[in-house]
Amino acid sequence: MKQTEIYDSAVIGGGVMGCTTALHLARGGMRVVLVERGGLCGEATGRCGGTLSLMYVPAILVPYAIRGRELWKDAPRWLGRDVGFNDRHGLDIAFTDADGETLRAEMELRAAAGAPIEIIDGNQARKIEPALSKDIVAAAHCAQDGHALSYLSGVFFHRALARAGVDIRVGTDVFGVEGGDRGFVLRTAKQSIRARRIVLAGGVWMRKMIGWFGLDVPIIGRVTQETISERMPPILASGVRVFRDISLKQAANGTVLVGGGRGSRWIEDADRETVELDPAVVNQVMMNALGSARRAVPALAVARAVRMWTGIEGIAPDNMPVIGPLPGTADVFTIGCQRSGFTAGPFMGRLLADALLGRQPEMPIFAPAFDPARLLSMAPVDRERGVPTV
Amino acid sequence: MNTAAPVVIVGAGPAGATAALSLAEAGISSVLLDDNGAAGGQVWRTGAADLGPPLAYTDARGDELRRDLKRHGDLIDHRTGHEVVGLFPDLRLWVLEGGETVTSLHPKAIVVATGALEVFAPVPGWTRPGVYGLGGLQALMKTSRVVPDGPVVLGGAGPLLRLVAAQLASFGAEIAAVVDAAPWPSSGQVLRLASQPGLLAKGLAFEWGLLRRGIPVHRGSAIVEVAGDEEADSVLVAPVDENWRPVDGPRRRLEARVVGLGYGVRSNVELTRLAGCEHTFSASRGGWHATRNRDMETTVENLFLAGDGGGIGGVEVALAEGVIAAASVSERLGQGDRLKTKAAKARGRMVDLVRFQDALADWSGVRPGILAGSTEDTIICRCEDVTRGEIAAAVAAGYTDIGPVKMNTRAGMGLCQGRTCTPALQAIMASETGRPLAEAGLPTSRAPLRPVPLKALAQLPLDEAVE
Amino acid sequence: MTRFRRTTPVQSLVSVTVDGRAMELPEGEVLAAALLVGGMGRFSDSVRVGEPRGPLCLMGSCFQCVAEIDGTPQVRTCRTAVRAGMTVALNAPSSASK
Repeated sequence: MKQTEIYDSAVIGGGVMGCTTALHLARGGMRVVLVERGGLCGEATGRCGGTLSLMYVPAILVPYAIRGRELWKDAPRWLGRDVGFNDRHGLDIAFTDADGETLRAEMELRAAAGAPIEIIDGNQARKIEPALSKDIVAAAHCAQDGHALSYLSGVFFHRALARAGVDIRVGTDVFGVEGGDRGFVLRTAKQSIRARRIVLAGGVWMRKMIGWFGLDVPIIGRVTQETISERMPPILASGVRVFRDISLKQAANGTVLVGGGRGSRWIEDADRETVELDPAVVNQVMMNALGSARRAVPALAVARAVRMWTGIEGIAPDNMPVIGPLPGTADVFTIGCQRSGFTAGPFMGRLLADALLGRQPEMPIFAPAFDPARLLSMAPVDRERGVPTV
Repeated sequence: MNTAAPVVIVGAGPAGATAALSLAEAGISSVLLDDNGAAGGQVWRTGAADLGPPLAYTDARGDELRRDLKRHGDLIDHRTGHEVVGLFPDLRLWVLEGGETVTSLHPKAIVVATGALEVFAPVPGWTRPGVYGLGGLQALMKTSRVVPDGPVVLGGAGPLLRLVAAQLASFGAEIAAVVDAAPWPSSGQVLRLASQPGLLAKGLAFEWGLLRRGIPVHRGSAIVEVAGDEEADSVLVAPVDENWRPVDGPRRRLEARVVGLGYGVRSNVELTRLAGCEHTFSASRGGWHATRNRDMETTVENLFLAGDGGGIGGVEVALAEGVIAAASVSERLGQGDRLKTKAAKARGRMVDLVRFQDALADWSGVRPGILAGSTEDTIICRCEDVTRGEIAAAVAAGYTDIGPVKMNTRAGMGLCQGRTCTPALQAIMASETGRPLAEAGLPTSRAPLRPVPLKALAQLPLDEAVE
Repeated sequence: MTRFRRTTPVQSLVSVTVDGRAMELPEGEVLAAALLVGGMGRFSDSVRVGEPRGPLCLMGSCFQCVAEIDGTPQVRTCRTAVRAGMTVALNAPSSASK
């Protein structure tokens, strides 16, 4: 690349949102650079459990999640590789009548938005997933669920992006962005990068990125902890969630992944290293999560944990994505901070790319509910009450 | 069981056991955790009592150490078969007992004394059964008096290579050859090694043990391939350059039913990494290790580190550091300076010992050429079957830090958590990028360090405060 | 084909089942050592390629010597003592992590 090359678009942040946006922009004919501080899909995307579900998302996002899940299923066609798509049933279970009622209310909203979710009782849940505990009183069931191998998505995106002609700059930390008469200049530890258009796809680091343009938005991080077991004989055939608590799944290679846990923390400063070392986070949340896992699936008592890690999701106070033009500076766009973003990610990226390429997106992407401008007047997250879930 | 101890020491090798004994001398009780069945670490490992005559070149101080620990049983709570699988910056420990139960300890001070790990250089065929670490072959002798049957070829560098060869030979094992990557030490190196005449004499004794048995030693050479049908039956030996990179030249194939490999040792950093200590790279001390001040304290307050875990220094340095760490802990706990004189003496000994260690590393410390001496198809990570070619491809794609390389290739993400392949992974990255070894970085370690039953973690008592 | 031999007499032997076969092994002996002397070399198959693997470090670090012991998978034989009546399955479905 020549020092003076001006890219049509610079995408900052190489998670699922940034990667798919860059991929489709390049396929649409733009000259694209993707700049990532670490490796592709090395943060929330690669660290999450790869759940593909319609049972997590705010109702308004259900149609997007349905399309996103279809895209993961269809990955060989658009990504060139199967990302270990596992077509499973999903179950969200409740141990108390009170939780069962809240579960029903939430799931009915998602069902009304198009998710094929039904409320069933404990016996019906155990018919679908015999490994479940007898203590379950109610469950939501969705036939469209499953997971993909999120931790391998970076490898597959890398190949597809390179083939599409995207200039991939991994290991490149962006310090700031300056506007100029010839577009923008990205300041990095290596050489500067020039671009006419900027897409900010920084996940939990979105607040910092938006700060480069003189704005402050109340995006904060939520720490999610994951524990993985060694390979085990088949125990779980479906994706299981304990309502507002943990998620449980068994991969094709036999490893069981336990994600989440009560007491997960909100953090201002998105420094993952610090979070991973904080024993308050590690110990208590992990114990809560593993306790819940055993309660939900008693057969897990014999499982052995081999590793734990954390990931951080960026979250807006209304729990809605941050996608659209950034107010105040033309040609700057954001994408990300979406609940259950792994599921819908490939679709959101494609929609944004279509909008930037001047095409008609399949579904609205510059929607008021996603607009970054809404955040400017929004109060920070109430950490006690959390964010709306549906 | 003494749960009132304010100090937990991890590792009952020379450093950790000495720290415990020194603390006991000052009247301070400690919990001494070790995963082995008996104290002594790798260097002073022992087996059941009825093994017959002692192993050749065995240091009697190991038995002395075990006797002393028993004698101070009132103050030293020595727990064998206990593995520390978690260590957090607030000094909380997770301890796995017998692979089944987990307890949490929360002492006022911790001395980490987990020693070293053997350094392996992957070459084609090194994954075949029949290839063992030098330390492993030695452990079989020490604990079980089990020795190879049939021709043995040992390859690597440093004192352990000679010691193991001489010990195996003393049991009548057929040592077909010793393949040493290092050349003869230079006269300057010999002169510096002579600053510790006792240690130099030990080394010469190992060398003499080989010479008088007529065991061929191929210097400036390395095992560059292990061949065989399913298990090893021969090795290929080739010359190496000054960086220990295999080069063209006469190659010879040697029959070998057992192959021993080992290129010295490196600090075991998994606990200090987990605790968030700062680490530095020092080629003369075995590569990466946690940084310490002169009181043996790491950058995490009240977390002390003694022995090879803080940079390779050998058993004499470990003994001295055990004393110094104990003195620092004693002062920190406000238990007075009863160990001050002893610690000052230990510090005095350290100066010369470290000089000796530098000379030893200068002569036989592992060079990156052999660590990256693998071919495209060589498996580097044995747990996840990751080849050198896959690692090189990740580096070529722009991944130049060890974290993203691991995530992209899965190298170092298996059951052993990278304990076996990390030095090779770092050297291959350095070789592929042309950057110094230190710039490849140090991988993150993650709890639990060993597989732990889920039910044990879920029932972990949060606060077994050790006060 | 054994590649190791014992240089001291065995004190007491106990019965152990290895891969469904009855074996007499020295009580209290390091299981990996006893299996090596007993002629076992291949302990497991690697996860991706399915290559034969055996013990490497013999000091608890490398996890290459794992076997299923009394129903628990992935137990390090170099950290396990021989007990009367124990059941050992080599080359059991191997494990890695995510």
